[in-house]
Parts: sequence; structure tokens; C-alpha cells
Amino acid sequence: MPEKDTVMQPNIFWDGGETKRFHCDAMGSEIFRLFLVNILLSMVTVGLYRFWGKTRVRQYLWSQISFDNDGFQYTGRGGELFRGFLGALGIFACLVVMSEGLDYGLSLIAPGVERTVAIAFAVTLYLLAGIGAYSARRYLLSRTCWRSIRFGLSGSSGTYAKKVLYSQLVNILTLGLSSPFRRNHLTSYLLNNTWFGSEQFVYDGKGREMFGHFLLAYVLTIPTLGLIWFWYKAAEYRYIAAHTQFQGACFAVTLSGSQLLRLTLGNWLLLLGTLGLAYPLTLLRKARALCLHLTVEGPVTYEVIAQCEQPASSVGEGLIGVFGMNEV
Amino acid sequence: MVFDGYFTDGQTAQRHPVKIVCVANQLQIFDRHDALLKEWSFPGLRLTGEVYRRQPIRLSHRDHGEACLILASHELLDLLGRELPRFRQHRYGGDNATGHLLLWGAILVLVTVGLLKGVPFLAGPLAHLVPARWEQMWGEQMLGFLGEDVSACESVEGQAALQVLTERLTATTTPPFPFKVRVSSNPLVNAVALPGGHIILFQGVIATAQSPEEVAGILAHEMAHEVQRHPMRGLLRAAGLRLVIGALTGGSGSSFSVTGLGEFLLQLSYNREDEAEADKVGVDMLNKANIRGDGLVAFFTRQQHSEENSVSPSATEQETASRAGQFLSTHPTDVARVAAIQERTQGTGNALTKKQWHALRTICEEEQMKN
Repeated sequence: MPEKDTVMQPNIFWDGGETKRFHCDAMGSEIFRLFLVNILLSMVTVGLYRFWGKTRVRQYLWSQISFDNDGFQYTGRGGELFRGFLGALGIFACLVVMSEGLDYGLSLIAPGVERTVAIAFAVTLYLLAGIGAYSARRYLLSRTCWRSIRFGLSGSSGTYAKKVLYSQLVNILTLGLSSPFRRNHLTSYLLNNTWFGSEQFVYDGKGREMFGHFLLAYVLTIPTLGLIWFWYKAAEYRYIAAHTQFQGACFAVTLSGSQLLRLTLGNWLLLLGTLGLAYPLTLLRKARALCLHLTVEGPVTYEVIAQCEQPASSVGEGLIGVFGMNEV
Repeated sequence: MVFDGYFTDGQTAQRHPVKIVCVANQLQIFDRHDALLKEWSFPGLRLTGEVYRRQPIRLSHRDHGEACLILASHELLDLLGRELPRFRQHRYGGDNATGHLLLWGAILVLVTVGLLKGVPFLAGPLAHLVPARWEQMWGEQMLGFLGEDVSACESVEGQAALQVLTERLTATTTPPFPFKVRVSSNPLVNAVALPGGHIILFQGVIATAQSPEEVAGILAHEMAHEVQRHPMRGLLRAAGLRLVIGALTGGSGSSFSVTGLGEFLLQLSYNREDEAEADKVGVDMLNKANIRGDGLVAFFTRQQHSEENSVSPSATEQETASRAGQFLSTHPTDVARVAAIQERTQGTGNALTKKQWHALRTICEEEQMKN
């Protein structure tokens, strides 16, 4: 007999002073079982099942995370990821053929330009990784629903990839000192293009406001054996959240440096101790930390948030899959 | 029966508190003021995902797009189950999670062990099925890739002597492709069997060898690798293991270093199997060609000794020791291995004449002069 649930509290609509929280119901045994089945089916299908397996894990995790007492929903399909993977493979095949052909053709006409072709190839790969990262996020958001309304990401993945490349070049020239500006620049593009239905997120952070913290961490790297970066990273999360708004509501992160250190170190140890088998548990720990430390404060007018259609392709997921950058 | 719940219409993010009534073949949805909002017929009803005991149930309808009905009470599921078989079969996600975990874990362990044993077992026979031409192309590519590092020494007399030895040993077996043996001026004390019959003896082997039988033994050993298609077997095995281990670590990716370590250790143990097999087949080849096997024994024993003496302070000895390390790093040697070779060897003849041996020893002289 199903027990009467108490999850559904009397609903409080856009109450001005309310702090709204995320909640994670996921359980280690359940997510672990999902992974075991995925591993098994991946082995016997020569790895093909992993697209469907990944979708199952996302469905589970999304459904176990709720905000303001309403659960999230993941509506993506394994077949979409598989097609995205094939698309990415096609792109790579074309690229390799083109680069080889160009290399051969040019070596006949103008010997010595192979180096230029090689550099162009490397730059293209770097841009592709950026494009993949952005469009993978677009896909993920477009398949994420809350209260039947989809999230979305506007903007161009090409523009984002160029920003990633340019800011990386500047970063190299400045010996990494422009990192906080870079991070802010990219975060700003990502967040200001993020939508929930017809309403947009707004991020107004400034790179220079994180520069002081950054410089401190930069200087203290060696005396603290690099541990200072956990405190910097946590401060960065807090800063980004505090400068992100949705309608009248503001985000807040309460994660401290020592909490981040414990989370990260714990996950490393888990992976090390189990030869990587504890991966699902590290995922769960991350999800729980996110739910524990992220809050939303201020009024949200739900009735004006309308459903919005934004096309999204799964090729980006395939791309970052080829680069080995994707998690869940 | 009346249920309390919430309704999201898929148009806006507002959720409406509603009352749900089950009548005839449909759900009637009423708003706060008891006005009829929607009527959802049974046939199009579906759950949006798995249901967990601790969570409300969520229903959507084929004809009503992204609209969603959320109910805290799970009793509606039983009610719907009476009318609709697919709701009757419904089970809760997460029920008996520990039991499932143990069951699937056990199956997984069995399958993993099966695959870890089965993949290397199958890799041998499968390697013999791969067309020899493919392996030769692969080998040529590798040679091209190594380029200058393995360029062959070209003294005419030396090559002739090497040819004599190669032909004597080739005659004892039926190789899948012709052997192409070269001595490289690289001073490494080592030898490798590349795919497709390409064997490289590094100059250090020739220089440290004290008799032509030592070189013959090493050559036979490398040829045996080729005859047994070990390079191809290694490739198939590595690909298979990568698949199994990659799947084991799920989404964390094979780049994770600990996984890499496990894979490396497994490979290493299979390497030893390959080495033992190459010893066996190689000594058989020596026997058939009637070449004394004590050369191989002497070579291995000497390498082992210089490894053990590697604490010695003398600079030259240290040099030899580190060179021996080069060989042992790819040819792990122990007393048992040497004994096995000793026991199997039957040949009594010499490998080369004195003149041929001298020619082989000086095969790289021109290249060394240039440097």
C-alpha cells in the first residue's frame, strides 16, 4: 500500500520573503544499481548502450531533484544522444580527411606549409571543443523541464567557442592573470543566454571584482600547496550566484572553501579507493552539495513564464563525448 | 473518489491546485472554484517517469501536450490499475534497491570476470583470422612513424650474415608473412617485433652479445612473436580490455589514471604469457635449425646479473646495468624463465661462421663513423 506522502506541502506562490530551496531525494543504492545495469549492458552491446544508460541516469537524477517542492524532469532520449554521437563522428571524419588532403595537396604546391595546416587543425579542434561544450549545454537545458516548462539556451556556440579561444590566448600572454576576467566573460555569455521558458536569467558580475581574491590565491599557491584554490573556487561560486538574477529573485550559494575541499577530496578518495567504481556516488555527493548550498531568494511571478520553443541538437554532446569532456 | 493535486498546463510555470475525480473512463480536473478545467480520457494517460514511494506521481496525457498532473496520493495508481493493464503492471522504482544492487552486482562480477578471461583467450585465435596484408600495412606505418630512430645499418657483409641466419630460422616455420629483419644503429640493448614481420635488433644487442648463438636466440624469440601473431593479438586484447574497463568506470571516462593503471597491470601479465610462448616457439625454431640454445640462456643470465648488480658504484657497470634494464623492461626475466629455456633446448650446431659473425658485429660501423 503506498504510504501517504508528505512531500506536497501547501503551495506558497511567489511569497516575497521566502527562501526557496532545492532538495535531493536520490539514494546511493538506486543510482548505483542504475550504473551496474548500464555497465553490464554497455559491455554486451560493445559500448552502444551507454547513450541510453546516460539518459536513464539523467532521468533519475533530475526526477530526484526538486525545487520549491516541484521535481525536475529530463525529457531527452538515448536515441538523440546516439544520433549526436554519429553526427560528431561524421564531423571528425570530414575534418581528418580534409586536413590530410590539404596537407598532401599543399606539400605538392608549396612545401613547408604543413606546419600551418597542423596549427589550423589544432585551432579547429579547440574551437570544436568550445562549440561542443556550448551546444551540449543547450541540449541539456532544452531537455530539462520544471513545472512542464522547458529551459533553454540562446546565443551562438560559434561565438562562445571564439570567446573561449581568444580569452585563452590572452590568458597565456598574461601568464594566467586574466583568468578571473576570462571566467567572468564566459559565465556572463552562458548565463545571460539562459532561459526558463520565456524569461531570461541575468548575470551582472565583473571580472575585476574577483581579481583581488584571485591575486591572493595566485600568490599563496605555493605556501598553501595549492589548497588555497578551493577557497578561491568557493568564493567564485558564491560571487557568480550572488550576481545572477531571475525576475526579481536572486541566487545565493553558501558553499565555503573547507566544504568544497571536503567534497572534492572525498570524491577523489572514493574514486581512488574503488578504482573508479564509486563514480555514481561522487555524482550523488555533488548533487546533494548543490541542493544543500544553492538557494533562491525573492519573488518569482510564475504566471508570466510561458513555454518557449528553442531548437537544440545533440551533436554537441557527441562532440564533447569524442573529446572525453562529458560527465553526466 | 476525489484526489487533491496540482496541475501545470504546459503553457506557463504557474501551478494550479486542483481536485481530481475519477468518473467512467476519464479523469475530471476541477479548479479551486470547482469549475471543470480539463477532462483526461484513460487511454491517453501515462506516467511521466518512474514512480518512487517517497515522491508524488506525475501524469501526462497524449492529447494534452506538456500539461502535467501531480498527485501526492498514490491511491489513484491502484484505481487506474483496475481499468488499465499497464498501470497494473506498474512497480515502484527504488523498491528493494539493495536486493537489486546485490543481484546486478553479482551478475556484473560474473560477466566482467568472464570477459576479462574471455577477451585475451579469444584474441589469439582472432588474430590469426586477420589478413596478413593488413598487419603488414600496419607494420609499415609504424616503421614510417619510427623513421630515423630505427633506420637500418647497411654494411653489405653484415646484411648477408643476417640474411643467412634469418633464412635458416625461417625455414623451420611457416610464417604468415615474409620476415624483414634489420639491425638499427640505435645503441639500445633490446629487440622488437613490429606487426607484419618487421623485426628490429638494436645495435646494443649485437654489441653486448658474446656469441652469434646469442643473437640467433634473440632473433628466434622475436620471430616466434611474429609467427604467433602477438602484435595483432596484443592489439585485439588491448581493444577488448579497454572496452570492458571503460564500461566498468561508467561515465568517468577511461582517462582516469587508476583505470589506466589496472589496464596496464593486466597488459603486463598478458605480456609475460606472450613472452613465455615466444620463448617456447623460439627455442623450437632453434632446435629445428640445429642451433645451440645456450646463447639465449647466456644472454638472459647476463642481463639478469647486471640488473642485480645495479647498485655497483662503478660508472661503467652502472651503464651496463641501466642498459640491461632496457631489455628487462620489455622482457621480464627470472630464474624460471631461463630454466625453461635450458630444459627445452636441443640444438648443438653453431649459428654463424666466425667470418659471418665478424661481419654481423661490424654491420653498423659505417653509421657509427658518420655519427
